Amino acid sequence: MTEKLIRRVLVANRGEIAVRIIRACFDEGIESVLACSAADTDTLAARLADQVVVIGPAAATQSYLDIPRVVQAAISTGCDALHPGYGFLSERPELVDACEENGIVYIGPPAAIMRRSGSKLGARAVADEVGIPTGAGSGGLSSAEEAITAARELGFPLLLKASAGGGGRGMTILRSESEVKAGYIRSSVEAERAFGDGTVYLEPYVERARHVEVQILADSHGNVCHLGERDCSTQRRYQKIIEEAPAAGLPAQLVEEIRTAAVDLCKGLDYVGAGTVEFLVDADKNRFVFLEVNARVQVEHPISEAVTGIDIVREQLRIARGLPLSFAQDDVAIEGHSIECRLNAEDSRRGFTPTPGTITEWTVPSGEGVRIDTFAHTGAAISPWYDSLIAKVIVHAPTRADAIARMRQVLSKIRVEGVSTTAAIHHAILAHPDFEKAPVTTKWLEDVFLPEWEADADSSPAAGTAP
Amino acid sequence: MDVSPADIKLILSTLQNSEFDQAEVVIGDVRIAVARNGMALGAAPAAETAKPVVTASAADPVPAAAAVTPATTPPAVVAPGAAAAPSESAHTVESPSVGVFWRASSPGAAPFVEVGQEVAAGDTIGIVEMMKLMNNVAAGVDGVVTAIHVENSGSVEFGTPLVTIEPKA
Repeated sequence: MTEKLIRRVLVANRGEIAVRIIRACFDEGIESVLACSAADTDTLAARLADQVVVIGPAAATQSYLDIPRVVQAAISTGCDALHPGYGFLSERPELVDACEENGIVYIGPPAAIMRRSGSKLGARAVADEVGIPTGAGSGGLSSAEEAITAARELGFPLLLKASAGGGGRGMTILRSESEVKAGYIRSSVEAERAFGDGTVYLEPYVERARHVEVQILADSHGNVCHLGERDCSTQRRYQKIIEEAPAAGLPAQLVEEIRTAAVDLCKGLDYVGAGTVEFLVDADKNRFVFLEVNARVQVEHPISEAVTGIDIVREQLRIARGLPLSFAQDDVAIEGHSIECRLNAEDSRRGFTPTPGTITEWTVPSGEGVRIDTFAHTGAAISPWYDSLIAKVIVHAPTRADAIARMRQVLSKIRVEGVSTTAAIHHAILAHPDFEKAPVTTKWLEDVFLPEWEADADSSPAAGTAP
Repeated sequence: MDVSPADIKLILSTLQNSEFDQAEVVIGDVRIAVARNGMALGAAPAAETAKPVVTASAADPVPAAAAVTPATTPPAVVAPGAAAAPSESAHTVESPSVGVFWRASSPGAAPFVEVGQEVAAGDTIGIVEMMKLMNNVAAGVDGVVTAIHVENSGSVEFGTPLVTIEPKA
């Protein structure tokens, strides 16, 4: 593949990731043009970019999510490449197509690969081909007898799910054969009532699951390398709150299998670009199943950068230019431990309601092993139009215990006025014995930590029952 | 360079008191074209890519250009004295998105509006094209166009002022 000249990149995003991409462009000697909404013309990214183009009103559907506007902005400003960041249009093959039609290099995977990896079934089919466990369940079940037969084959525990549904309705956990019949009836009736379709199916249920994902970088010369894995099990409502690299407490062989599986899958997909392969790890059985491929740079990419010393966004720019990766797999060494806390403008004492406003004070520590990716500063507006992430606090230290200690130290020194932040709850999570002791599972935050945290908040003199 | 409604008023009254039947004044990206006594308005810039720069002022009255623009009502110049002071009430039509501004429906066609032209709220004043999607931009108010801020085929952003309209009193 011949090298493509990239002199000017349209940054089709906002917030901290826009700042991050502008920085990488600067480092690569490439100009950046920020395509932003009318609400974001005075943000840090707008100040740092070489040029700003206002593509639409504050509403994301008419700005950041509008493909014609974004591509038009690239054309109008003479950009030869486009970086989508994460979220917004970052996994829309239509954007890749539109870029291609207009001679703009899309910084990410080609459309065909994005389509294949983006469809769960497509990626699963490839996973099956290359022999990666996918946790496949039964087909649609139409009677209790069928459910019993399928359950015997799959083994317990199992999860009964509605084919048509979502949002947890029609779901039943089955722990033994005696529960199957009643469970089937309950689930199918509920599914019928909720979705007008009583079809249900079974899949293996993982009691204590960890979310483990592997960072991949693949160039257009056939090199596919991993940068180790991340653990993102600390979640609330399927939203990652804290991420760590590497994943602690997994047997070395399992880690190796997971990393290899991710590389094999990406090779099977002919993947090009930065990507993440997500797995669910059964913490009791030390088994893993493939979940999905994220065909973009991820929020939590800095922790992989911290432990490998590889700049993922700069590598993305290299890959887009048709250059080979700047390193080989053997050069990748995972050193120390890194943790990221997502600092959101939310009130964690009031149901995590977003608290938009103007930051009147912004003081964050810095120093060895501390990185803050943010668009915040004193005077910055936190817009009610977009998500509430205001900063990613990233630490790097020789061991997990050191990293936790460093993060607690940093969090305790963060001073933000004008908006509420989640710094205090992050501090409490990191101080929790469960978190310190061992890596937690995906339900820990909601099932164990939050009830304690809420009880703690309620333990006013009137309640009087502090734990 | 900014041209205030007061400037336009001054230009119009100067022309009113002159001998010219037709004139085109271009200052920066504002173009003012007027005609009277049955003369046609100046050549429509629809097909042009780059506007000739600056003043084609009173010095040379443009020859009544090839039928392109039927000056519907030789208008505008109407009673500059009577018009209310515009700046307060002036309505600026802004671009609804990033894109390319087209003053006419196709190359060679007459511009949707010219300075001095009367428009109704629903009238199209121009098109903002993005990725081959043509978005008609409506005047938004009944009134008289007092300024056109973007030349034909100029790049615009969301919120870029396109034309200014002095609403009917």
